[in-house]
Order: sequence, then C-alpha cells, then structure tokens
Amino acid sequence: MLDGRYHVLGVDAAFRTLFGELGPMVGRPFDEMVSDRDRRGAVALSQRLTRHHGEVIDLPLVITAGGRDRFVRARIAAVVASGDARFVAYLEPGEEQDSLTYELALARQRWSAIMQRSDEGIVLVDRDGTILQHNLRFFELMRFRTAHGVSLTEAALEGRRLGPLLPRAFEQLAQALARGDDDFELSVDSDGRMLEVEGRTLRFPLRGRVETLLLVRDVSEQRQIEQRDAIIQLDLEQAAAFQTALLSRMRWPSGLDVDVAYRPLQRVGGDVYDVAILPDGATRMFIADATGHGVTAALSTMLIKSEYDAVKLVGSPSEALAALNERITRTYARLAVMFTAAIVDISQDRRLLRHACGGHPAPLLCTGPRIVELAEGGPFLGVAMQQRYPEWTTEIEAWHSLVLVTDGVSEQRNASGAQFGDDRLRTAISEAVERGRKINASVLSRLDAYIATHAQTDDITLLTVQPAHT
Amino acid sequence: MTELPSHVADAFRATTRRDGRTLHLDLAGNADIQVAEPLHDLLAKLHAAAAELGIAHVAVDLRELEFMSSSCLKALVSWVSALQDTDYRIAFRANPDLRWQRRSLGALQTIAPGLVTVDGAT
Repeated sequence: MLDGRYHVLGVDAAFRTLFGELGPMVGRPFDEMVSDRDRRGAVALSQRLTRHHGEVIDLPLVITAGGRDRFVRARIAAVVASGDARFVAYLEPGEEQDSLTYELALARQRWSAIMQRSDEGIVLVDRDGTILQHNLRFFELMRFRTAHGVSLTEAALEGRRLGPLLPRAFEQLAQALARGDDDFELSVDSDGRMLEVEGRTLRFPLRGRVETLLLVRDVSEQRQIEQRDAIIQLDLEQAAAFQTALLSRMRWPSGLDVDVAYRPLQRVGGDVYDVAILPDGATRMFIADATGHGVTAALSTMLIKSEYDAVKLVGSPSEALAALNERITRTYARLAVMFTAAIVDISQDRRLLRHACGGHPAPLLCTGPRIVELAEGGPFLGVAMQQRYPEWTTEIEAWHSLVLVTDGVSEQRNASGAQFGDDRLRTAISEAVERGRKINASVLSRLDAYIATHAQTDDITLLTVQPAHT
Repeated sequence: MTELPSHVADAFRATTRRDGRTLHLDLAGNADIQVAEPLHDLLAKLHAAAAELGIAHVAVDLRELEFMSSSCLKALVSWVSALQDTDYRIAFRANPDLRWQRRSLGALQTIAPGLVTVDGAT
C-alpha cells in the first residue's frame, strides 16, 4: 500500500510469501524499490508517476526485495481510503528468462533505447494515422507548426493524427498515409533541407494494417557531398581530357612506329612523355614521373611538360635534362616539383642512341628477343640547381625496339604483396617480340594477370618505339 | 633527455637508436605512399635530435626495405637537402639486390655530395 506521495505504507502477507520482508523500505518512496540494475525501469516509473492522472500504471520492473533483485510486473492503481488518496501496488513475480512478459519487457526496453538514441527521426502511427510513439529527433526534423506558423511543442504530438500536422512540403507523405501505402520512400525538400522518409507498414493476416513505422533522415549533407563529388568527378574528367590532349599533341617521326600505353592510377596521373623531331632529324623521346599521384602529380606534369617544351630542342639529352631541371627548380622552387626523367635520342639513320637519365629506370633496348638494359643514374629533377646528368651513347646495328617505362610498371604488386619486378617486365617484352605482338599491350596483359584483383598502386606508362619496317 | 623517434605501421617499420655520436635509423618493409607523412615527420624529429645531441653520423640501413614510394623518397630528399646547414653526415647502407635502391640512392647522393655516402648500391 502506498500513500498519496507513493511512499510505502506496508505490505500484505502475500508479498512476504513471495518476496520476503520489506524491511527498511517502509516509509520510503516506492520507486526506491526499483533495482539499481533497472535504470530504464526506474525512469519509466518516474515518468508515469509524474504524469499520473488516475489510470492504472502497468510496468515491468526489477525490484530489490528480500535481499535480491526480482523481476516483477508492477500495477499501481488509485484507491480511496478514509478520504485520503492512496495507491495499491500489485507486484506479480515474473519467471525471469522464461517469461514471455520478461521477453516483451526486454524487447520494449531495447526498442525504446534504440528509438531514443537513433540519429534518424522515428515515429509509429496506428492504422488511423494517430501518433503512437516518436523520438525527439523526429520532432526536431519535422519542425511542426500550427496553421498560424507557431511552433508546436513535442507534447502536442501525443495522441494526434500525423497527417494534419504535416507541413506542406510533406504532402506526398500525407497522401501515402491516407492511402494506406505499405512500403514507400520519399524525398522531401523542406526548409532548405533534403529529408528522406521511409515508411514500413506492419500487417497481420487477420487484422490487416496495424501500424506504420516512419523513418526520417536529413540527407542534406550527404546530397551536398554527392553534388561536390559529381563536380570533382567532372573536373577530373576535364583534367584527364586536358592531360590526354597535352600528351597526344606531338608529331610522330617518319620511319619509326611509336606506341604509348598510359594508365594513370586515378583519372589523371603523374607520368608525362613526349616524342619530338630534332633539327638534325634525330628523334627525341622523353619520359618523366612526378612524385605522388592524382591531381597534384597531374598538375606537376603540366609544369614539366610546359617547361620541357621550352627546352626539348636543346643540345644533347644530358643538356636538355639539365636545362629542364634548371627551369623547374628555379621557377617552381616553392612547389617542390620533384620528378625522375629520361631522354633518348635516336639518330636519323637509326644507328645511334644517346640517352641521359635523372633517377629514372633505364631504357630497355630490344635486339630481337634479347633485352639490353641501358645505363641509368643521375640526380632527381626539381630538387637542386646546377645538376649534371650523365649521358651514354650506344651504337645499334640491328634493333627491334626501344622501351621507356615508368617505375609503376615493375612496382605493381599482386595480392601477396610481391612486385611485378624488372625480370617479369623484361620477360614480357621478350615474349612479345618473339611472338610478333605489340609490346605495350602484351606487358599490360601480363601485368594485369599478375596483379589480378589487386588494385593498381601507381601510374603506368610505356613508351615504345621501333623501326617502321619491323 | 632527447627522445629518438620511431614509427611502426602494418608493413613498415622505422626504428632509431644511438651509439655515441652516431644515430642509427633502420627502415624495413614497404614504405608506401601512406607512410610518406609519418616518415617526413620522423626525419624532421631525427634531424632535430641529431643537432641537439651533437651527432656526427646518421647511419641509415635500408637492407630490409623492400620498396619506397616516390612520396617517401621525396621525404628523404628533403632531409638530405637540409644537410648543408648541419654538422652530421648520412651513410646509407643499401641492399644490392634491390634495383630501386641503387637508382634512387645514387640520385639522392648527388644532392649533397660529400655529405651522403651510399654503401652496397653497386
């Protein structure tokens, strides 16, 4: 028995039989009987007692009685005794783990916890569209107002039909509820926000539609990101088109077949190449690899290509690299455009090669199936001024092709982390020559088979030249 | 007391130790692009520690380093480029079986000739 302030006055014999002596609880508030383990139950009881208007309170609780925690169904009803307000609390022990009541209570508590903590607005409406339950996030997202534009309080939603409360922007939702649509998804543009509304209806075979669960989420930020991504994607495609145009703006030499395979890691890459005809009729091939990948590296390639165009007819390969390094290092010191590069000159009579490197993989000369790795060395470009680049001259009596690569080819890895490597690269070229196949396509095919499903990790460029008669 | 930096990631490890006036930096694994920033930071701290401790030599052991991305290489280049203003020298110990080391360390050496030596790259 409880007094008008819900303090415990005493217990009956049945209580003692079921739960033992109440002890020090006599005279204490009833909610102090709720176990410390049942925080949600204590909160629910407190809320119900605070808003109590005479109805029977019916709650699952864990109480501490007889020195231990017990799961009970608690029903509290008002009685009038001697003119004073009194309450009687019926405590019915549950069967803990086996009890359907317990399971239901647990499910209800879990549902309430999920609902209240959800980042999505959640509301349950019955078959007539009356609000049964909602969370705070739903109230915040919907920004309910009266017809006069006055904001509604959250309490004003209780027991109201949702349809008439919905702002004009939610007309489609109101129609879906009115029609009794089972499952639906809507996008709502409301107050400058983009909201997504998802409706899921619970139906029973005989009773039909029981209630509808509505989930409301603010996807404004997500949409903004998607729009921004789309713009970036478009920019990247344009940048890729620029880069392609830049790289293909060259005159192929007569008497030589040039083949380029360019596969950037992203839409744009940090590799750059060029083929030019020198005043003495020699063909000059240039390949470079800027540090990094993506847009930054691609912008570096624009600088490199533009500066290279200004010096590409300069003297020997070594002098051209030194001139390029000087221009880049002096002009763009703050940008720290570091890159590797190689230049190979093929004399007009196709019998002499002169080449220079700056930290770049050696050019590969194919004399039939045999692959000769030319010399390599030299400092990086873009790091320090007044650098010297070693130059080598090679006489070539009979040659099949010359292949310039960036390190992205041999440094690609398979799923187990093993690199494609220089040996596999040379083997792939050699086999392509033996079988009369296109070198670049064959290398890429072998490379793709090697890395299989593993993602490409660097930009890849192969620049192959061969006498036109072969 | 000056703390020596280190960095351990999934597939990369950079450890340092001091031996008198020599600092040892051992790099191992794969220095992918993700490692570039931590490596840059580590080298900056190492540089500061070397100055503070009056270090004469930094010995960098790359024999267990399978791969280094160009972005990580750039971090090494920045470090080596700053050598002109310091009192210590760098000695790289390379793995002759790894071609990228031969190529890249040769290029690195040209940035600060006399201050950087490379052993095992030929």
